[in-house]
Amino acid sequence: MNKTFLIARREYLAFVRTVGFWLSMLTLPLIIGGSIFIPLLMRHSAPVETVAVLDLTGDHIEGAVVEAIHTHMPKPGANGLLESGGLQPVALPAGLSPDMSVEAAEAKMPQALAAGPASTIIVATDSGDKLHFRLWSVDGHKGRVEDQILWDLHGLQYYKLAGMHGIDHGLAHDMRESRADIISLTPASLAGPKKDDLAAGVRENGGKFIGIVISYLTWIAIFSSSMILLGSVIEEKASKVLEVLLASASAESLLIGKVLAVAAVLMTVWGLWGLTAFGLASFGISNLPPETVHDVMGALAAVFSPLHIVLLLAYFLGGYLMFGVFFAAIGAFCETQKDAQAIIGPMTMIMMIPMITMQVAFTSPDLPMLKYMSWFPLFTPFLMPLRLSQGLPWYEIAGTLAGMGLVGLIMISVGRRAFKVGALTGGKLSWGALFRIATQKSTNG
Amino acid sequence: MESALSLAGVSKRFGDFEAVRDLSFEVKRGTICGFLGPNGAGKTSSVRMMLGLSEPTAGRITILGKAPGQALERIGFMPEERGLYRKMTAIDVIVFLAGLKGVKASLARQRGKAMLEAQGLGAFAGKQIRSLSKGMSQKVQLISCLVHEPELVILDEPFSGLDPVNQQGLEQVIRELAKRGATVLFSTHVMQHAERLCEQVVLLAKGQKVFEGTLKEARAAAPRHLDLEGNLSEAELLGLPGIASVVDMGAAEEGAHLWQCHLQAGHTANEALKAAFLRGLDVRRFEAKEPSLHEAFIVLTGGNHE
Repeated sequence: MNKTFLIARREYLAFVRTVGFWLSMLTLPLIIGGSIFIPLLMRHSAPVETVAVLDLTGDHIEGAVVEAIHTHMPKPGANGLLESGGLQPVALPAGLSPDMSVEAAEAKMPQALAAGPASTIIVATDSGDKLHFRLWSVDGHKGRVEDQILWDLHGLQYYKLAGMHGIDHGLAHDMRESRADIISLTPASLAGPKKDDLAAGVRENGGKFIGIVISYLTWIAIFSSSMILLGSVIEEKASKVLEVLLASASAESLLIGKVLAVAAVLMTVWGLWGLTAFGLASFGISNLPPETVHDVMGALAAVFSPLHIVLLLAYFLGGYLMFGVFFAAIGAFCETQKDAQAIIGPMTMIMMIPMITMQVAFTSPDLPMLKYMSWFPLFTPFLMPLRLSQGLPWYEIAGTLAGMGLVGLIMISVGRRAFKVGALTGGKLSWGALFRIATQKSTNG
Repeated sequence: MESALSLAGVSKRFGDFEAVRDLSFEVKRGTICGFLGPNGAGKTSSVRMMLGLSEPTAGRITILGKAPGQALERIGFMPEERGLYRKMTAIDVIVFLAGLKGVKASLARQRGKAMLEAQGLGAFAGKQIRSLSKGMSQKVQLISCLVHEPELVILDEPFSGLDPVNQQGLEQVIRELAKRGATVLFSTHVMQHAERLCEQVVLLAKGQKVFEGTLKEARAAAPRHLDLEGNLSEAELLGLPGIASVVDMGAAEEGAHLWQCHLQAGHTANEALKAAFLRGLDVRRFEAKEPSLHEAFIVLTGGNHE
């Protein structure tokens, strides 16, 4: 046990002491954090757009347009990251008046925009049954006002048409705002209060969403750690250290030590990523009403029962040991990654199948095909976390765990023997060689 | 005295190829044993079985009174293909490998530093292996194999890749190991090292033991010869008692000729020399030569070094 610990510690330190490890580990949180915060910061830094209205319709719609602009004014006291610049109505620049022609007005636009204070001037005209809005902006501001006021300007056209057909303005407003009440439900919807949409969403879809996320994370973790183990053993094989180690420790100690070390590396990575996720979640929660937070946390607790967490860990550990030991054994035969391709290539393709399946499973996690595939032991660790969110009968859980455990033990047994044989030979690796190792008597070492 | 190592009828088969066949020998405690044989003789396969790295197809091995793999902490091993973690420092490698042999880190560090100093590598203790020369790395490897003060040291081709000065240094290390009571088994195909170091040699050829015994016994397996220089003919020499065959070694000084005369088993150079003088042969110089281990090796292995 002491030897296993020593090997695991050396391996772990060898990984975490490299600059590359920290760079690669920090990359994902930086990308996720950056992709969330940088756009927010950019929006936050957007200036308030000053907008003037030149009403050439003769229908006096200026007031309605200004009212629409008012709805996009910055809220007093708002200074959060989620707040953007907004719109601010200003007076028409000198030289522009509602009684001039469109051509004359637009000819003066460059000077009017240059004189300020408006960074955008909305020129409204009327062609009888349709309103036209031409939004003139200073360089670099094109589109910023349109994005915010688009819906309101379309509304003015809606009301105009309604008026032309004798429909009462109030009725037209109600019609425009009116929506049917459409709700998708499952039996799980009956549980818990219905007062909060977010909490209800978490309760009804959280399990599926989390199942998908955990399935992906399991796949990524198992695949990447298997590749790390492969690379680590290849490095030792190439530097001829394996024989020295095997003269001091058993093949089992070496394998378990390496597997533990990579698991510890994985936990280090997850720890940091978990902290990042916690920070981001805390930030998100701080922007939610306390009542909603309470309901969401309650719904999450219902999804993540202790049994669920234990089962997730069991599937992950099974898959990790199954593939990790096998990949490490392959590495013992190889001095370069290229040497390993004959075995790793097909194995990677097998591992890709559940990854592809997961994309379909996102919308239909209860497909029969998915159920059958999850019983195949090599796919079980990746697909069962997803299916667990569906509330499975106990025999499915027990059966898949048993199947995965059995195949895992066979792979570990073959891997252990292959590791020992591979470490001491320079022979070419092939499926045939692996088969011979798997079927030969253990006494032949 | 109990043997440090004992092999009885050990064989190792890889598919159709029999790498080691019915190998039996013993190494007494506190002795230096040369495990000799040409390339591909089965030395490395045998060493791996002794260490428990691979299991014999047949036969029994006892090492320090236990089955292979059961006494690894008491054994030091340096493989033919040297290898250390290239990104670790010399002292860290030594401490790590000593840890696997059950030595506490503090003690291993202390011993490791002292041994590095003794080998002239004190200043390189904190350097990464990849920054050391090949000779330095080999010394670190040797220290790693000895730092836990093993009772039995197995060195697989320890002299390969070393320059003459370092070879001499290694020979000294092996002698000191034996002096402190350790048993040393080293494999080599260079006979001179074995000749200078060993009390016992085991000779392997094509997977089979062809000889086991002392250096003297090994040399006795090869014919002794008598070098004679003078105006001598092949017929005159073959007529001398005890001469089995002669080899023309070419012209010598002042019209003389040099002949190498191989002696028959059981005959001495004295008999032939005495007869030559009595017959009045023109013998200007003579030299009786004991066969070297190299010559014995060639005879015992049938001259096949494949």
